[in-house]
Amino acid sequence: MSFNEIWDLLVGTFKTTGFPSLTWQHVVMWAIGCFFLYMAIVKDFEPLLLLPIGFGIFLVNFPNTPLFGYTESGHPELLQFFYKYGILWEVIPCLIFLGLGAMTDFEPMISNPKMLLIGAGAQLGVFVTFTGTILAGFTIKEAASVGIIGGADGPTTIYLTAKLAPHLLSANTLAAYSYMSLVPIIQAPIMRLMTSDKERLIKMKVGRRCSRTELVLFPLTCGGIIALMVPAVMPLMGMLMFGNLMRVSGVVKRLTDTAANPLMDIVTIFLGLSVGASMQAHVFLTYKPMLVFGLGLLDFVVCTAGGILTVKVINLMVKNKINPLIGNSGVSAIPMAPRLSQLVGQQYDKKNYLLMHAMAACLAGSIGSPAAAGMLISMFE
Amino acid sequence: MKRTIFAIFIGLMFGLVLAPLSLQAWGGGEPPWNAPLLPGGTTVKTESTAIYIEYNLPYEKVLAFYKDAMAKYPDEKFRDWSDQMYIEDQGGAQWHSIGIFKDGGAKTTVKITRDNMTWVFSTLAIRFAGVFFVLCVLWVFLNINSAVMKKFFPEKKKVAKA
Repeated sequence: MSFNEIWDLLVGTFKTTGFPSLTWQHVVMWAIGCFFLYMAIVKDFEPLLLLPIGFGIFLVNFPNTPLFGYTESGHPELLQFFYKYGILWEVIPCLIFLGLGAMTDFEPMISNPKMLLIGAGAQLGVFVTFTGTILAGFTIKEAASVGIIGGADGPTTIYLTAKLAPHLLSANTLAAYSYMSLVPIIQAPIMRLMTSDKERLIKMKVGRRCSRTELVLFPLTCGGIIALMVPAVMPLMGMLMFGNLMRVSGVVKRLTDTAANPLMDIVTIFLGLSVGASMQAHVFLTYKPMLVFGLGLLDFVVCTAGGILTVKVINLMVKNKINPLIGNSGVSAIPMAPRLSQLVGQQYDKKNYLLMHAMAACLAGSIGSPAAAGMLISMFE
Repeated sequence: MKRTIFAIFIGLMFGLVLAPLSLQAWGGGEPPWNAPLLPGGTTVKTESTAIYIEYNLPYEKVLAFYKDAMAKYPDEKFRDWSDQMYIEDQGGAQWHSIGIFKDGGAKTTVKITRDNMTWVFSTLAIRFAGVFFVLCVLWVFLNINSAVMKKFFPEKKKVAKA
């Protein structure tokens, strides 16, 4: 064997490695992936989601790795398989809603249906941001998918984005979950800014207890009404209501536990990995994801303001006043937003317990944001 | 001070929403706003946001041209209405819609409209009101539900043990 042959062999072997195709974009994406891993592992910041997302980003941004493409025979590679059948086929968001339904107690909202209006008012940002996003040069479908970020509802954001603008999925999902985690930082100043001392001290009546029949009828009533009025969003709402029916019926405890715990965990793993894997350098390192983060923040701010303004408007018409500090919970960031309402409320009055009322507003938001998503989907059908 | 900051915040919010109205760049340009155009037509009317072009061709031929032309646009939606075939741009084109009218016999009128904020605002206002409407209906039903439950299944008062 001559030296040249050995050299060619070595060069050929070298070419099968990832080194020749390595670019600076890959390195940037590793840094982003490692940043999320750091936030999850060291700072304990949304670890359930940021750890799989961070590792997904890290994994997929190595050249020539058979992870997110298609094989020669046309089969999706591992992470592409999760992404395609889990997210693009809209299975994972629906399964998450099933788990959420099985975990959620709607009693605070059923006993105080007024709170539904706060959930609707808090969708203001969704529609305001839509306009700003178009102005920033996005298409109408992209604008709709960015707009839903303010609803602070991860699965709904994924569902709508996968339908309308799959190329923005990673940026939108990341923005939605990031802002949900930053609820105390983003919402608290707005809450203080938009409420007076007198309003912050408003005490609300404790809600009544609901009968089991009432709780069982709720998913049927709510599911039926949403199905008739916003059919586009029934895959999400149907699963949410089914999960809740399992919970309140009390007769399928094993199924409820499975939906709320193991299934939810399994789906979260695939969701995080898939979303992370979709953040490939050539897709993510463009101006649009950066704009999504900016517009998403504005969206979240306006949604928070919308919820508080809605409470103020309701207070003009009702005898039993609502504390505007629960308006921030109209976005569906459970449990951070209600917890923040409680914390801010107790800063002004130690004996003011707003948590359950804020939970009711938050549950209304979790119905409001899919309704808003359904409205946006219907624009394109 | 706080009220001033609040007023500025609200002002900025409205500013962001209303800014497109004053932007000539958005939805500007000349008719037909880069929309595909079948040659041989006569412009019958021009408005600030729309242009009407008449062809001495039957509806089917005009429609066939536009179906071919739209093949390269991934974000176009065809809506077959009773009076026209309405093609809506859901992408980033300058034009908003192309309407091919059906009732012209040997002649066919095509209406091309440009992107305009009126459409954006009106559709969003309707949809935001729609979210309220949906949740209000739910509210009414929950109230009815609660009233029925209280009537037929009154809460049992606990008797205090002596």
